[in-house]
Order: sequence, then C-alpha cells, then structure tokens
Amino acid sequence: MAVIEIKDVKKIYYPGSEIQVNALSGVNLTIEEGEFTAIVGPSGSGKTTLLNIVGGLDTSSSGSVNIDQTDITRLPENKLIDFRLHHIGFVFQAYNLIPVLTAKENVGFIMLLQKRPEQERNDRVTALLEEVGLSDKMDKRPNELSGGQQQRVAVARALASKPRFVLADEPTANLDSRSTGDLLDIMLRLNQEEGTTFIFSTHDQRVIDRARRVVTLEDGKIVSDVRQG
Amino acid sequence: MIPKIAWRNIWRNRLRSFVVIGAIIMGIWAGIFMSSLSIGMTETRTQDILDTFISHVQVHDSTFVYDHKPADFIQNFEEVYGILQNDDSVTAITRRVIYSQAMLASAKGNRSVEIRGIYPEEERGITKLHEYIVDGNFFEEFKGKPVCIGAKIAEKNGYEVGDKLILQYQDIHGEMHAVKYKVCGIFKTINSQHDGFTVYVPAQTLFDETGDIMYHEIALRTFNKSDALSLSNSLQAQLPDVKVEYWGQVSPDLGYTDEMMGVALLIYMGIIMLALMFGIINTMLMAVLERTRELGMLMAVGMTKPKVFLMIVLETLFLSIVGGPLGILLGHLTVGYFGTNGLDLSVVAEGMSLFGMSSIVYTSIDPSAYIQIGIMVVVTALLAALYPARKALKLNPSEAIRSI
Ligand SMILES: Nc1ncnc2c1ncn2[C@@H]1O[C@H](COP(=O)(O)OP(=O)(O)OP(=O)(O)O)[C@@H](O)[C@H]1O
Ligand SMILES: [Mg+2]
Repeated sequence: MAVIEIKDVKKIYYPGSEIQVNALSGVNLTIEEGEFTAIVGPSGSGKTTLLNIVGGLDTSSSGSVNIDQTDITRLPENKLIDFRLHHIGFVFQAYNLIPVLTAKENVGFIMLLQKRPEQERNDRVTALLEEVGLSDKMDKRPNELSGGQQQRVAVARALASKPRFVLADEPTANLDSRSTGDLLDIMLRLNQEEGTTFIFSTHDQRVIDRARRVVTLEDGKIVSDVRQG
Repeated sequence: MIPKIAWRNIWRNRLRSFVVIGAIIMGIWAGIFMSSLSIGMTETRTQDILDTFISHVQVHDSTFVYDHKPADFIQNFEEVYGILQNDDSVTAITRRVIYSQAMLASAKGNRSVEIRGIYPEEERGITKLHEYIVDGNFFEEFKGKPVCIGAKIAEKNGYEVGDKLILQYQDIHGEMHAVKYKVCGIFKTINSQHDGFTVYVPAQTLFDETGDIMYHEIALRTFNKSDALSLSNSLQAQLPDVKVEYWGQVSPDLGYTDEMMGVALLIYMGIIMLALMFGIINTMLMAVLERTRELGMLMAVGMTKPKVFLMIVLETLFLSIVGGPLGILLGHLTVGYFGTNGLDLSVVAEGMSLFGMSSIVYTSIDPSAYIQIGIMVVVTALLAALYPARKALKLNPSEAIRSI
C-alpha cells in the first residue's frame, strides 16, 4: 500500500528572476508501506528540499504530496502542524533534542503534545529507549550523550508518536562510522521487525549500500530508482 | 511540561540570567528605597505639623469652619465633649476659644492677630507648642494675664518677654474688649505664617473678660494618624450637629501630599520597570535568536505556535519573578533598617533644616506597596515577553532547520 504519493512536485526559488533556482523540477515518487528508502545525489540536487516538502515543513511550487490520501500541500498551517505531529516522525542531522530535557523526557514530550495518557507514555518511552539500546541512559540530558546516542534518542522520539513513516535528512552526517553502523542497525531492525517506513537522505556509501531502495536525484530530478538487497 | 522546559531554559545561560535577575533585584530595591525615603520625609513633615498644630481630629460648629465667627461656637458643648472624652479611641483631647479677628496694640505698633484661648495643661497632650518656646515659658510662671506670641510678631514689633501689650477683640454681643496682657513666652514653630498671626492666652482669662463660656474648637488625638479618618467618620455619625474633620480635611494640603505618596511609588517603580523591560526584552531576544534551530525543530515535530509562544512568555515571566521577591526582601530590610536607625542626610542636604525638616530621615513604606510592585513586575514581564515571543513565532521551521 502506498503511504506517500509524490506527483510532479516542483520547487522553484526566485521564479522568473535571473537567479531562478529549480530545486525540484517535477518529481514523481511513490513510497510503499515498510520501505527503507535512501534519497541520494550530489550536494544541491534537492534531497533536503524534497524531504522538507514531503514532511510538510516547506511548500512546493506545484504538484501534490498525498499521504494516506491527504494532499498535505493543501493543508492550512495549523492543520499541517497537527498532521506532522500525528503522522510523521522526524530525525534531523543535529539539534534534534531539547537540551534541557532528559532522554526519557525528550521521547515523552512528543506524546505529551499528542495528549497521550501518562501510563501509555511511560511504557512506550521505556520500550523505545530499550529498543534503541539506551535503557541505561534514560535520565541523561543530550549533552551527556554521544552524538550517536543522541541520534538514537532522536529515532526513538520520531517513533514515539506512532507515525506512518520517519523522515531523516542526513541522520548520520555528524557521526563516526561506528555510530553510523549502530544507528543503521537500529533503523533496519525497526524496519524489519516493526515494519516502520523510513525515508532518509545520505551521502555515505555504507549507508546507501544498506538501503533497500535507492532513489537518486540530480538537478532536482529523479535519475534512478533502484531496489536492492 | 512546558513550564518545566521554560524554567530549565532560563538556567541554560546562567550568567546572562543572573545579570537580568540582578538588575531586577537592584531596580526593585532602588524603587522601594527611593519611595520609602520620600514617604519618610513627607511622613516626618506631616507628623511634625500634626504634632505642632493640627492633631488628629478637630471638631467645630458646622458654620464656624467657613469664616471663623466667634458667634459660631459649638452648641451642646458639654454633651459633645462628654461623648468625645468617653470614646476609647480618643487618647487626648482639648478645647479652645478662638477670636480670629483681634488686634494687638501697644506703643510699639498694632497688628491683627487671632487669639486662641487654651487650657495649657491639656494643650500639652495635643500639640507640641510648648516645645517651641524660644524665650520665656508656656504659661508656667507668670504675673497678671499671660500671653504667648509667635516669634514673627515679636520680631516685627520688637516685643520681649515681660512686655505689656493690649489685646482688642469684639465678643459675640458686639461689645469691644481691650485687655492688658504680659508676654509670657515666645514660640517659633516651623510655620512662620502661624507665628506671625497667632497668640495664645488661657481660656479662663477670656471667660473672665467676656462672661461667655463657649468653645469653638475641640482637638483630639487618637493612636495613630492613619486611624484618624475612620475615627472622624464614626464620630461624625454620632455627632450630626457638629463638623468632625480628620487632619487631611483640616489641612487639605497635607491630605493631598499623603495621597500623592502612594502615587510616587508607582511613578518611581514605573520608570524603573520601563528601563528593566528593555533589559528583559534584550535578553529574551538573544535567548530566542540563539535557539532558532531548536525552536524550528520543536515546530517541525509538532509543537503548535501557541505553545511556543507560551514557552517564551513563561521563560520571561520566570526570569522576572525570580528577582521580584528578592528585590522586595532587600528593599524591605533596607527600609526596616533606616526606618529604625534613620538615615542622616545632613551631608547631602544641608538646607533641609532650613525648611524646618529634620536631616535624619526615617524611611517608611506601606507593605501593600509590595503587592503593587509584585503586580508591576508580572505586568512588565508579560509586556517584555511579547516581542521576543512574536519573534519566535515568525520562525519558519524549514529555514530554521536548514541553518543547521
Ligand atoms: N531557501 C532557499 N533559497 C534559495 N535557494 C535554495 C534555498 N534552499 C535551497 N536552495 C537551493 O535549492 C537547491 C537544492 O537544495 P537542497 O538543500 O535541497 O540540496 P541537497 O540535495 O539537500 O544538498 P546537500 O547534499 O548539500 O544537503 C540548491 O541549489 C540550493 O541552493
Ligand atoms: Mg541537504
């Protein structure tokens, strides 16, 4: 079943001017439930732009993005925030966590925004942090955690809201190869065992090698779409 | 959770928060101290004037107050005086006869004066006139009919203690009296107008001269000058035929100054709070701008704008109200200290004694001012929060995150 249907999405910065940038020039892409997709391509090819539009953080110049039959390009701002909260999990390259909250509180915060009951929150937070291998770091604040551990907390946080899929823009860009491997292990396991849909962008060949599907962008266009493994 | 995040956020940059909190503490302290100084000075002056002239509550015939006619004496005096004497709130009381259009005549010159017939012993419990005698005495030793005159009269006409002079006045039957008196004492108070116009004689001598035993004024004291208004109201209700006034009505000037002191505090604090507000805005703006990415992330993952707004407002509020109680406490302690020990301003204000003011000021403040200050701090914080919080709302999550 298709979770995301991207139809002819264009993103043009400064349209009509001399410095017009075609960040995306007609992208069509369908993401099925349970896929583990890497968006790759050279710098400036439009990866971040695409992920931001799919995540409802940015608006497209034209085209549509249907998530479970809802065209999010047509949602008003306040509905969009709510949509993001309930349907999409985010992992960013950095600054994922609230520095003044512990790992546990960071993961629980998103469920608090969703107004989930306390018992459910506690149970799920514990389970998720266990799943990302941080049971012993639950009460640590981000600055007491390594970069890799922070990203694992971010993955747990992204999953806490039970989203339809997780968007991750270069989640491993700031990590050493060992932490990159660990994070990818966790993401793959969640994908295989829980069926979580992941879409992430990356430059790292080792990450690309472990993706199930690799979509390559060049100059705002998809130039290849390969399923592997 | 949002209050918790907000509270923790203000401790992220401790130095910066401490600077703002310190500024708020100092500002509130300064405001309280300044107000307490001016309130203290005014209080001292008011107290002096009440103690010397006005006392706390005065009673007159209702028409007497307009033009001080001798014929408008207090009716049913015995009954009125009895009620007043038996009131538990009345701590001291005296009565006076007043001939306000009299003439002082002698070989050294004439002068129009007001004669006040008093009971010297009772008077001591009401006013401090006896403490202002600069020459002679206050009806303690005398021969013949004694009169105490103001220093200004003595000066202008060259009178000295022991000099003889004639007091001329018309009694309520239209009969003129011209009686020889002997200067018994000369007083110099802080009010030179009073000293140039008023002479005191024993009431009894006036009764002897005219045969009219009557009183125009009853003056009384209660425990504290702040109790005077309610006492005068309750007495007025019991004594509908006379006019009962508390000191603020007897001397509208004093009453007005007293009221203005409450406003002075608001003005001082208002100015200080305005200055503090810009400091708070600056700090919070920095706090918002350096957290662009974090705020962008929060909005991206689903924190709504009202919640972001609330968070920044709470941060501002917490930052401000941490300093509030400390500033009030510090101010309270300072006011308490100088309220008991006094603050000697003689170094900076040599001229004060010229105005009849003591150079030692006892600071004073009404504790209800602390509540006003508390409210002002909260209002300041809320106003200061608006701009930074709006700034946070204008952040665009995708751009905020891209700046990573
Ligand atoms: N706010 C913007 N204003 C103008 N141009 C922009 C803006 N954001 C992105 N672009 C342009 O859009 C194009 C695509 O950018 P994007 O960030 O999506 O690339 P990317 O594939 O994520 O690159 P990288 O691998 O470096 O992260 C680039 O040419 C970039 O300069
Ligand atoms: Mg990018």
